[in-house]
Amino acid sequence: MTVTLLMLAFGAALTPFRAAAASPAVDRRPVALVAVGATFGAIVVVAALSGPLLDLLGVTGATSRIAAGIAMLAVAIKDIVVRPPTPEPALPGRRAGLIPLAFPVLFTPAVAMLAVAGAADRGVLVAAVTALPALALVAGAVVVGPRLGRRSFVAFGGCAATVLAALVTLDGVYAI
Amino acid sequence: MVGLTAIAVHPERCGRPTDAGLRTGAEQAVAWFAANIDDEGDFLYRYDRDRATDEAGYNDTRHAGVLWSLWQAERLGVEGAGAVAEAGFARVERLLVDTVVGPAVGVGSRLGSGTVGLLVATLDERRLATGRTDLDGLLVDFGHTLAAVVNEDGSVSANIHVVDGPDDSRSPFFTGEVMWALARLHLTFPDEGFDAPALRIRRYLVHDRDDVESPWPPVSDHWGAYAFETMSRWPDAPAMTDADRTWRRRQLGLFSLQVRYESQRVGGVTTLTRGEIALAAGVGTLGEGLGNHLLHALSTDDLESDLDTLVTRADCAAHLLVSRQITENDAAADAEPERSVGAWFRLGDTQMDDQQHALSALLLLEEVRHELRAREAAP
Repeated sequence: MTVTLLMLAFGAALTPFRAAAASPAVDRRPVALVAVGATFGAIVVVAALSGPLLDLLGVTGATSRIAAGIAMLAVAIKDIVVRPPTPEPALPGRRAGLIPLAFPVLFTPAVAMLAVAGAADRGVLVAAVTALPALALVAGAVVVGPRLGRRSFVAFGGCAATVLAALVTLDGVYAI
Repeated sequence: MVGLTAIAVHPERCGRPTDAGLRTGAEQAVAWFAANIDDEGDFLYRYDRDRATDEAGYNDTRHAGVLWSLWQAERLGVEGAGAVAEAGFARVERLLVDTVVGPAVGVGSRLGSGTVGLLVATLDERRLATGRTDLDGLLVDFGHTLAAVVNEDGSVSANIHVVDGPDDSRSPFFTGEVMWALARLHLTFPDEGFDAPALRIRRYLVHDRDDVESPWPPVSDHWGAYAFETMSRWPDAPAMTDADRTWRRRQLGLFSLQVRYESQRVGGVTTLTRGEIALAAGVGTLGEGLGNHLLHALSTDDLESDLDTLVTRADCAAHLLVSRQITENDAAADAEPERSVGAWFRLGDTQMDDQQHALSALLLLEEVRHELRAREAAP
């Protein structure tokens, strides 16, 4: 998987529109920081566990990319057909960045599988760094707020994610 | 979502057979051929183990493939393989036909160019294994037949009509078989001009074949892998172009995907999600494809992919074969154990090409390991 594809895939899986839909009415900047920090931390942890996890499952890195693609597709379809997430229920104050924003809005199974697959293929550092541009967009979107989280925008993000999901899947299929 | 993802991430049950395991597997396959050849040189074609019955049918291209694998085994030291191959050549002599473009082999008025291609590999391998040149005349004549089935664009006519010659039929496998045969001939008889048609096929294979003949899925071409490996040993070997590398990268991806998928078939619930195990012939071709590309890469140092990963995939294919081969213990209760020992079965049936492709794959992996050790030992 190329670094570019991994970066784009994180962008599609961490779609800023979905995050914006769950953005709270107040304290958006600190909430955005908490959400992005917690999501990044989770990505790093999962990426660091990638090797042992795949060894435990007896799965190759190539097959984990297929799994990541399928998980991305499932999340993308959900974004297209299901109403976007809402800011409530949420933990109070900036902890809203943890719940619901980081978990479960941002750190979906698709993002977790991408972290595993990306780390297996490119190493933990690359997997973590390639998630940063998408997380920066997410932070911006959370600060801008719900007007970026309209259903049509989230669905558009889902459409883009289906394309990236197909590319990630094919990358795994044709991998050696 | 977890369920969907789980469908993609079944465990891959791979392993690395020992050198002794590879050798025993090859010897057992050769023993199967020795036990299942009749007085006319025909092998048992297909056998139903559950009903203990021989099933009808024969295929001369597969017969030729078996002879090639047996000579490969003889060259690599599997005792008795050459004698079985020599006995099997009786069928070839019996079915030799003079067509308008040269000799071919088969029954009826329409004969396969792939059969001739594999017979060239057979006779050339016999030459290498024994040093005997008594069949060189037939070998070169077969070569001229093959040169006549290669079209201007490099495509290969699959059928040769006895009276009318090659037609415009195509086969997913004959193209690579004929290319490999011509490549071998150029190594053995460099002044006969067999390189030109071989190179035409190579260009067609890399640039046009999948688009013209099989847009989807692309052909998983182990015979093409044999041809590329052989051409790399030409004194005037063609340089690998970017297009060649792209084709090889895609082929390696196809072989690897199939090995990974096959290694997930472990029975139980995987029968529902992955289906029954593949024919040993199919798994064998994966080992052959990977083995040849590895030999090519090791001899030329031209490989952009991770060598260790490729070796792991080839080991996995061999592991699947070794672990699925019928042993004497497995066949102890069989009505006709000699039909089963050394063979590979799928849903109770085996066919002679199961043993043939598996045999060649195991032997190729032996060669790969030999090359890897030589490389490690080199200063």
